[in-house]
Amino acid sequence: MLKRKLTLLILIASVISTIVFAGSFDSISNSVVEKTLPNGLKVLILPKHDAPVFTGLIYADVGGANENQNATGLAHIFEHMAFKGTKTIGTKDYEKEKVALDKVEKAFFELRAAKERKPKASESEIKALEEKFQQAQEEAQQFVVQNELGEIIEREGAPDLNAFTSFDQTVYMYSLPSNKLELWAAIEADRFTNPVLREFYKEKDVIMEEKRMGESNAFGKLLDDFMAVAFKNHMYRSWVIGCMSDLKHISRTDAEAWFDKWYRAKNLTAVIVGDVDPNTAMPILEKYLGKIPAGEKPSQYVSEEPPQRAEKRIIMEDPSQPFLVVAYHKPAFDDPDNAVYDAIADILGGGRSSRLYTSLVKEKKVAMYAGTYTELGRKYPGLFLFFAVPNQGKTAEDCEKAIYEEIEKLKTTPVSQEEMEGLKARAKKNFIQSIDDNSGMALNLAMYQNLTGDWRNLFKELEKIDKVTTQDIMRIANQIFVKNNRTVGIVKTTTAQESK
Amino acid sequence: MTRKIICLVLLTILTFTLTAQEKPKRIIDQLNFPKLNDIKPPEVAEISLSNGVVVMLVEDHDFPTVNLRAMVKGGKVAEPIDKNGLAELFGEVLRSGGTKSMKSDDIDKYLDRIGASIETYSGESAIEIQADCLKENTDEVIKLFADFILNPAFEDEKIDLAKTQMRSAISRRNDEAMNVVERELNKILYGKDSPYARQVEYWDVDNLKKEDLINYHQKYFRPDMTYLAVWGDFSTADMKQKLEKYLGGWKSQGPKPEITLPSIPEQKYSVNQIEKTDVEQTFIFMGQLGLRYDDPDYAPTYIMSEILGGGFSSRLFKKVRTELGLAYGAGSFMSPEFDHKGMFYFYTSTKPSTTSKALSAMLDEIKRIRETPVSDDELKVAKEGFLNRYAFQFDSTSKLVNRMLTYRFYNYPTDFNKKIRDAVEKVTKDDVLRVAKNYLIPEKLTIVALGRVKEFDEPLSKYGSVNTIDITIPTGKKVEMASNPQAEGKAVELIKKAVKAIGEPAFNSLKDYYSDGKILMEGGEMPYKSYLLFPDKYAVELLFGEVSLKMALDGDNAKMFQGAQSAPIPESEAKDLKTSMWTEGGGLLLFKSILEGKVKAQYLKEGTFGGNPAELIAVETPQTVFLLFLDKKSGLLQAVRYEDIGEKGKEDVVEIYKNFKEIQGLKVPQEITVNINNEPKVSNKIWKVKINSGVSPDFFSK
Repeated sequence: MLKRKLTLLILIASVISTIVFAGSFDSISNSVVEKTLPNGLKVLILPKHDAPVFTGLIYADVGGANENQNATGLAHIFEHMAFKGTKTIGTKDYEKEKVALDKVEKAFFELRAAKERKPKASESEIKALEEKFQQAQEEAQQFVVQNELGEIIEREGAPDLNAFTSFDQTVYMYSLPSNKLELWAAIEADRFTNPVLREFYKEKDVIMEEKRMGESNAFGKLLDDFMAVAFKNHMYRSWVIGCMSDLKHISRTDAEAWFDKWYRAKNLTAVIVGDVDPNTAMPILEKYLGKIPAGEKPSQYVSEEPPQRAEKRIIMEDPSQPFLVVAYHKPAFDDPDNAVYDAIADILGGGRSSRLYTSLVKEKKVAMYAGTYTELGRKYPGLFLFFAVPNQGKTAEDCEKAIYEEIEKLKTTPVSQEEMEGLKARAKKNFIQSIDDNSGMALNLAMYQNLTGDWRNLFKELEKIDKVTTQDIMRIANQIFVKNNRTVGIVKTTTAQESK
Repeated sequence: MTRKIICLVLLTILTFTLTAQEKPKRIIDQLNFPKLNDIKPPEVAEISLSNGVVVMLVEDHDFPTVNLRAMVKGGKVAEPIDKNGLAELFGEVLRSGGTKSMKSDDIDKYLDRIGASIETYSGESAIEIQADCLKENTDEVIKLFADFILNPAFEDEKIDLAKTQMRSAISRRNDEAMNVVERELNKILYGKDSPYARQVEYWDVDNLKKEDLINYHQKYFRPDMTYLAVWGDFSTADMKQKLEKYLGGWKSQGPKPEITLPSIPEQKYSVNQIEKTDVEQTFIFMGQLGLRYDDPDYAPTYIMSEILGGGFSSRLFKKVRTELGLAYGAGSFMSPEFDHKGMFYFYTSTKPSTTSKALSAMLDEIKRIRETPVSDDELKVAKEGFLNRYAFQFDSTSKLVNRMLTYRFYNYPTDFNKKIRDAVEKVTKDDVLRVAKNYLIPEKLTIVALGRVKEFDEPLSKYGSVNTIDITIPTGKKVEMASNPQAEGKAVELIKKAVKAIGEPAFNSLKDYYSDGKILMEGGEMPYKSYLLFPDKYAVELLFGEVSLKMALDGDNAKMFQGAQSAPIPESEAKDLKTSMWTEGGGLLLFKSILEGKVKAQYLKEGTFGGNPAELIAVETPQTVFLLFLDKKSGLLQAVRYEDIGEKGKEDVVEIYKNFKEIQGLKVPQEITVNINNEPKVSNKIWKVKINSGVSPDFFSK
């Protein structure tokens, strides 16, 4: 139970898993229809007629890593706001609402300036401004049709209305009965052309609650600190949810500027997988999504993480049971050796006979569960992660030692032929499972299109894993699994009294 | 005015209203949806193997893989009462313990090498075995799958490993706040010993043996209790042959075992809080009794629940999240079950300083949906949403075949989902109001809130008397009471001796016991009176000057009285009252209950108390285990020791009885000191005792 949960947590924290492998997937790959619309928006359609449903997805090539230091959390805030509606959805009268919203914004700026001013504004001044801000919000509220956008999508049959923001991307996806493709296109075009960020300041409260929820367990708290230690310059150092003071500081104007920069057609990809005919679907998508302003492809430059000079280690004392994370810096997803990293992760951490499970769980009995994860940061050089959940009475350090033993073996002794065989068979099955449903397939196509520049690479990973050799594994292991490339994070159990 | 004119006026008004309310025409309102393509579910073949195993087969040639899932009747509900945790252990070791023909570690290596997997799980009412593999390995994997079902080996080493992991899981069970509130809520709703809620303790794990696994397997793993689904890239005819080959020879022996489902207790309103300081939010979880899937009210109740708390468009979400900005998640859901009533749940989590605000908002919405009909729009959104989602019940072969397998397993018609769909179509606003009134009962709600209690915006006592739940994980060993008749005999002997020492005839004629005295503790003293009416009534009256407060136990019912007012006593305090009832008057109720065989007592060993030799006896009561120190020479009960949960967690309590005096033929202590964690904390001085005072049974309930 616990092990599934952990994996899930990491998935939520970053992105969906894709280990890919060769097979006879040409027929799928050949039925993908692609088109770059005149405004630069990339459209991919894959017909699959199992049931009269489809998944539609908009992928914005922007994530938490593209934020600036003083405005962390902005990518995720915008994602929330993309559910607040448009000039025609979610409003009783947009013209009047706009005036009211501008008043809210003005009142927020006044209040924020007073709060951040030095020397401090008087309490009475702040109180007066707070009341003014409050009142402006109430005025604007009377024009709102609450959650109308979500309500339409739910009413029309979306079983799971969702979106996520990671370090690397922001994705909006849901499924509908397949006769509602035009509705999907109309809504998505509208919300990425005419978004109205109404109820902005209340939604920020919701996001602050989301942050508190995530930090209500030791694992969430540790990861938040861990990234800040593992990265000193690259923005992967700041967890996607953002820091509390930025969440308070950010204005609707900031979020609108974010939208203007990152949500132009040239930075978006639309993917449809399901019971649709590309010949009729493409014109519909073009009609609606084609209206999204073209804009410019924004620069994806983010400060590069310099080589690490020394091992870093954080120990968090907490009443919870112990936990261990060990991470090594690794290159981005489009690195030519990416398949080798996936291979190493699988040999060490995939399946009941994997090396970590065998050593830490079955033999040394130091851990309830131990595994690897390679997808924390993929657009830019990210992390190769090891994690372990120590057994009762065992410590994170016991697990750490056992993990290093396995790493050393990998550096010095070639992997057996059986393990290489297993690696390839598992990759094939995992790949099938990852594209077996419409949403998995849609997300994979979008990921490969954006992270590697071409969705076709999804189906080429096959050959790549096939070509991984035992020599490659030793080479990469020796290259990255070195002490000064390492960050260790530990939750150490302590009673509440001790930690004071 | 003619009728015509009236009509005209009406029409004008109507048109006017329409124009006035009309929004600018939006594209999304003008779309005409083409007819939805037909749902063409793949064909499901249902067969029975020669031995009676029910099998559902679906061919799906999209990808070269094959999947199997077996469900065997049993699970947590089939655990013997003294083997808590057995189903969980079984679900793990069935797989990890290997088979009689192949060692566990070899199986792991083999399956990993061919990219296949076989996993087993234990649920509430089923054990499940699942397998998936690439097409080319179908034969070998089915063979192994069958081997796990028929010939599991339960290797000793893997039992130990699984038990280590179970202990680790116990040690971690309070780390995730949401899991804690859910668990504690279910313990209240279903009863803490119910298989639907009970938690496994360290001593339960210690108590599980290999033979328990073997017995469980022998009893429940039979073809006539097994249901199987197979789907993927195969031909049905060929698959039938394979299944018959590997599973067909398996035979049921003896009569089918009966599985009795636990009863669900009467629901009571209660407010419960759990202090946890390392969380940033208060986690609120509430629940009450819900429905079975096949309840005729399921469809209207589902729609009601959707409107109340189902999604973006629901009331709880709109109120608590969108409007008040108090939470990331807020909602409700029905959790219907196939073979027993499930629960309704309501949840949210918010910062400590808005706990009561969020809770109030939730409760208001629950009340509101019972009082006024939902709007046409709300009904429309909920119903259309459900009906439009229907196509998604068929969008994957595995979803489809697993749903049908589940229906067969619980003896539901295989097109049950269609029946639900038809029922949803017919739901009206009146239905929604009716089921809201019938099934959402605020007076029977259980509320659990976990968080930094001291920082709540208002104390939860606003919502009723608060029961504090202690989630400290018990580490002590449970005294093994089951298997030592010799020690039990000796305990009874010693109790008889103790009774002789205090006066057997008076003890035998004892009907009630009254005492009057004062309690001295840190900060002062207070007069009190206590009444014990055998076998299950007990009251303590505390006197604050003119005001008296009575706390009374009548069986399981615990109430507080002050003047004409009364209120239920929260469970945590009721437990304290029950504990003190046992030792009242120097253990009178303990003695009686042991001699009447109502509680189990066991002789432990000889020890000392206060420097004098003493005999030690352990007595197990529902509240705690008491350790009795009986003076070796006189036979008198010198002291009682037990573990209790106090404000700061576990406490070691020792009650010492002194100054015995004979009153109406019975020797009773006139002074009692209580040491907590080795420090004297409380003492009672008793100045008046009455035996058989004739206190009325009504005194304890009125």
